[in-house]
Amino acid sequence: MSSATTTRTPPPDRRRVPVDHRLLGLDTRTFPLALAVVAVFVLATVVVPRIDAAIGWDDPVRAGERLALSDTVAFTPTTGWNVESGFRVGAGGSTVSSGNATVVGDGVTFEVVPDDFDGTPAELIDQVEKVTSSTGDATFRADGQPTTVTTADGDVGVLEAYSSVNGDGLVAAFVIDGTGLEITVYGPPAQMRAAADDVDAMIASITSDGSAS
Amino acid sequence: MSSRTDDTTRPAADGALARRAEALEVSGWGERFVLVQPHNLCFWVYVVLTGIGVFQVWSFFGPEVGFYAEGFAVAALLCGLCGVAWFLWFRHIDRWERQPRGLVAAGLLWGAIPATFAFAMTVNTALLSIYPKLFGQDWTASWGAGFIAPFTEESAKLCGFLLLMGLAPRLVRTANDGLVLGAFIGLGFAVFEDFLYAANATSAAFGTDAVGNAAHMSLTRIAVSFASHPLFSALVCCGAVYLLGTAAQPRRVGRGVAFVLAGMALHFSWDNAGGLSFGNALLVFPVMFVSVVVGFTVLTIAFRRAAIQEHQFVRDILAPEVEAGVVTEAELEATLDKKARKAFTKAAPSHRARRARTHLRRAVLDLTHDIADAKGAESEEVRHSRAEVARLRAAAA
Repeated sequence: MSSATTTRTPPPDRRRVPVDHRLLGLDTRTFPLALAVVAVFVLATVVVPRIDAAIGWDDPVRAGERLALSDTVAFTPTTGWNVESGFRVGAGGSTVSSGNATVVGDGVTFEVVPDDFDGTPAELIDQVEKVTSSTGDATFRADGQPTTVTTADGDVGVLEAYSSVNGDGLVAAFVIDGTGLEITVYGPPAQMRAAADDVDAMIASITSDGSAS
Repeated sequence: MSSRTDDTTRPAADGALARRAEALEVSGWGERFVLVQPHNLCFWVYVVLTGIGVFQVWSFFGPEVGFYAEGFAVAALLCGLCGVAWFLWFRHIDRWERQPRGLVAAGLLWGAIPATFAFAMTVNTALLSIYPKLFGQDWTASWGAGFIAPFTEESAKLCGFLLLMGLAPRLVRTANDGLVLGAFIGLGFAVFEDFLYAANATSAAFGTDAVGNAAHMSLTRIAVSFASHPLFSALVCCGAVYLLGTAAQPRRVGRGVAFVLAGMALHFSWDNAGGLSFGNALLVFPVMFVSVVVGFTVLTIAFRRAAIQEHQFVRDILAPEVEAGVVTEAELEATLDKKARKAFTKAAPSHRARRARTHLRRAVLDLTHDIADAKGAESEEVRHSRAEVARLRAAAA
């Protein structure tokens, strides 16, 4: 071996770790920073989500409360169901006053997604099926018999059963004053049957009064 | 001229050479960056968390990428172009010890993938579920973002900086390193976060105008990108260097805490402009304006304080060159000090000479970097840089 070879300093990635800093071939001097990062990662992705899972929803709908879907459209959720997302009409104190709404009760989830839409309720149902089956859930099919649903205000929408490997449910669509409403209702079959009247009442309660929020 | 620079610079005084050697040792300038370090646990943590981030990216975008391909492409193009513009600016201001490309790439990648998708997306989602349970929907809508992102996102980005410190302890050791690398980590985060927002916007209006919504959201995010993650994480990472202390930066706990809190506070005020204006839409813009002014003022202070040490490194590394007459004191100070630079440029006899003096200052820094790369030894690059200094001095006369 030449003297040049024996005196050459190896690059940092090839340098042998001193025996007093070696553990399983790793340099223990690199542990504090690496383990600090692992600790933050575990806190962020394991501990906090578990805390979230441990905290239940406790935000029941009280009699007379309505949820604002847009500046002009609102609906009345069933009293006692939990509000998991949504903004109460007239609550104030928030920079956001309307938007998506999710209420859960008796094992059934009732979700409303409002957004701009220029078309008919039937076209909205088709669009929802196309988007859902092409993105999140390839097995999603709105394949039931479409039925007409009418709100107490006389707005007409379309209701259809859907099937998916994630579970079956109902999807309804309305288009009110340029705002499309996609309503999805799902839960175990027995609970769905038991909550049918509540679901019908919530759909019928959708109103457009020009001052929802 | 070249024979002069080749032959007359050798006999520098021992004191100057010792200053240079010590500066190179303390600063770590000229060290190369190697990412793949099997003996370093920071390397494995970096690899595993990046892998988790890539998996999350695929899980999140994979199902939608086919349906919204055009919208995603528009978002990627616009957000990418914005990122490139900021990248070029950050490389421009990274003038003292230019961070090695590999180190910059590792910082950008961390901000883009693990910080955004392995850390922030998961914990932000969980907290956005916890807050309404505890404090209600209205409070969360007004204040949730500001009480989540400054903690979760800044810590996620800081984790990348800590890993880079562990991977390159001789390269990442000054407050200036914290500012520059923090900005690059923040840039990676900002570009992918902007893309995430734009990609989510494709499904707005029930997916009927994916391209239009993606373009609109991208441009909205780009419009406010001047006060964004690079600014916040530059301050936080700079503060972390002061807090931890290194071979080149003695620990300064008070200053470190101040810069970390400043970065987080700016993130808070930017994200909570709506809440801080108490629902008054007319106050949102003034709140954002004040945030920007305060943010850039603090950043300027941080850069000025950090530059003091970088300037001293340059003086020490060039000490033998100054003694040998390769670089004059006036040229050295004009390279480092703003007032001296103005006086130096103003003293030029012609417009052509003024331009040459600007180039001369750049050449002096090039010489510094080449000396550092050669670890203070002679090299072809060092000889070339000396010749360049001499050539430009002649043009600047």
